[in-house]
Amino acid sequence: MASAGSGDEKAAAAAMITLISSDNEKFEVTEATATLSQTIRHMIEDGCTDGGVPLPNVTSKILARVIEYCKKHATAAAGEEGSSSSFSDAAFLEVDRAFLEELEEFDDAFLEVDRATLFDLILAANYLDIKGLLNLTCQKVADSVKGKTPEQIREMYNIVNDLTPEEEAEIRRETQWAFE
Amino acid sequence: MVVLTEKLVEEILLRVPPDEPARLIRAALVCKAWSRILSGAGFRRRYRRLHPTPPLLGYINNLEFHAGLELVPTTSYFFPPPLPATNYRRALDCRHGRVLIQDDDDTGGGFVIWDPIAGSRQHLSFPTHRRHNLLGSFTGAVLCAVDGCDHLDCHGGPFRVVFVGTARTHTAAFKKRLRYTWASVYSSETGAWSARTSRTKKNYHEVWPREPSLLIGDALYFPLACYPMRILKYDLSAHRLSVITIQVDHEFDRAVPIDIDGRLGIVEYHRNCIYTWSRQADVNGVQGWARHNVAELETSIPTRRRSPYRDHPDEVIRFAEGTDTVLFSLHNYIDWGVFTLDLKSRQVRKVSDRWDCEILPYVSFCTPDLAKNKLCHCDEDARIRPS
Repeated sequence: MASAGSGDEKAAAAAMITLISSDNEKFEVTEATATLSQTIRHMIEDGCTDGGVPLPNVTSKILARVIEYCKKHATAAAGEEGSSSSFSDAAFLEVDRAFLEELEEFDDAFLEVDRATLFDLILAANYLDIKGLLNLTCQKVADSVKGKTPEQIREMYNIVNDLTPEEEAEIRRETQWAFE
Repeated sequence: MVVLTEKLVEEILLRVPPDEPARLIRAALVCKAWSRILSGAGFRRRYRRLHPTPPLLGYINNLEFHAGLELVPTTSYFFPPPLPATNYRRALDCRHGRVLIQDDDDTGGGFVIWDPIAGSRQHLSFPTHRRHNLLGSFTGAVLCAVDGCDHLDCHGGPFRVVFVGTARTHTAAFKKRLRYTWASVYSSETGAWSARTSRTKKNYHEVWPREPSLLIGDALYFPLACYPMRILKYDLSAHRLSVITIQVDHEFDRAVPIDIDGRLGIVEYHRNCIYTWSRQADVNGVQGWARHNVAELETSIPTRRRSPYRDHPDEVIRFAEGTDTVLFSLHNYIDWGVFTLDLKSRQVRKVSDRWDCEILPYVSFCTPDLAKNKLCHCDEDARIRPS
């Protein structure tokens, strides 16, 4: 039973999945790439991916970026697994470091997008449940508020200040030190 | 532009680094939704899960000539309101967001427990048995009293103060003076000091009021002023004192107890190097202490090379409990400052240009709801007297 199971898994790893964006564009991806998304992984497990996976919340522009991210990270994960058996510890660490550096560079370049795209990526990462991508994009926004005043943050992200002057004054009074 | 749900805004705010608390506090002023998220009960819990190590926000510096104390931030995002200036106050210990201060005022003195983030102060008298002894030196430790607490939101909650005093006495023949040490614990829940522990038996040296304690598990460790190095252990659940002798063939220079993976170790600052010592068995299986080189400051801090002098007598090293960081002050008569060393990454960072040498690391989370002073309803000038 065990050998039959692993044979199935190998066959599944090479299988292709079709993702369909909200504007009806189709993307062929390997299962290894697609299963970085927990949402799609569950759909595969439930056997409901025949005829493609419709993703009505994700446009083709954003889906293309998400797939780019998943491909890179799926390859890196596979590379790490493969290398562990064939290298000595030191060589493995070296390869590991190289992978991490390459991934970091990729992530930095990946985040070079305008704010609207960044928010779309957050929504897509959340909907598709891709932890790494959600972490990456949310961290980028968290870093962007560094050293900014509340006014600047509102301006950056088009947020309307709905705090009453009294509420604002109260928060300021209680935490005066943060604004000096 | 798309609008993010509150869940996703929270995902973003959770990723603001804990060593920049003012960033979260400013974020609370953006709009009602952000303010609501940041003061929600779940936020702190999830924040703690994502950031398991509390940040070193600054250090308490005892000013020279008993001129009071101050909190010096080590991050540009942390400037809590200062403690009102009063002479004859010095910080003895710092833990779980609270600072234990010895307050030698006109009324006989006592402790002040200061929470710089909640902005609260509570006064506490010394234990009464203190007066019944010919007291040599004493020190104290403060800690949260809640079992199993993760110390993220225990600001304003119940606390304990452990008083450790060394008394002098004479033998029956009045020929030989003896020193012994005892402890007593104050509980904010009962509002009273406990009975004294039994005294230590031997003629150990006195506790160091300058050296803060270390908490590991259910025990507090206080360095004693003696050679070879000895550490006084106070077992919180058994209410019992014992003395640990660090048996090494080495005279410690500046050394303090440290938590190495939940076990007692030593961090030492000796001739421009920082070492850690941990208990290890040798090849014959005999337990002893092994020294590990962590940082050579001449290479980590290049400016150090310029001076013909290497050591200043007042240089100190401190362990920031709950983190992997040590804080040390350095002075080579040309350059001086306060530095941090990350024991894991071995990175050295200058955190202050000042020559501060009586320092205690201040480690705490600081989320907006804590900073809003809402958690502590104590009357600032209320004096707690033991019953």
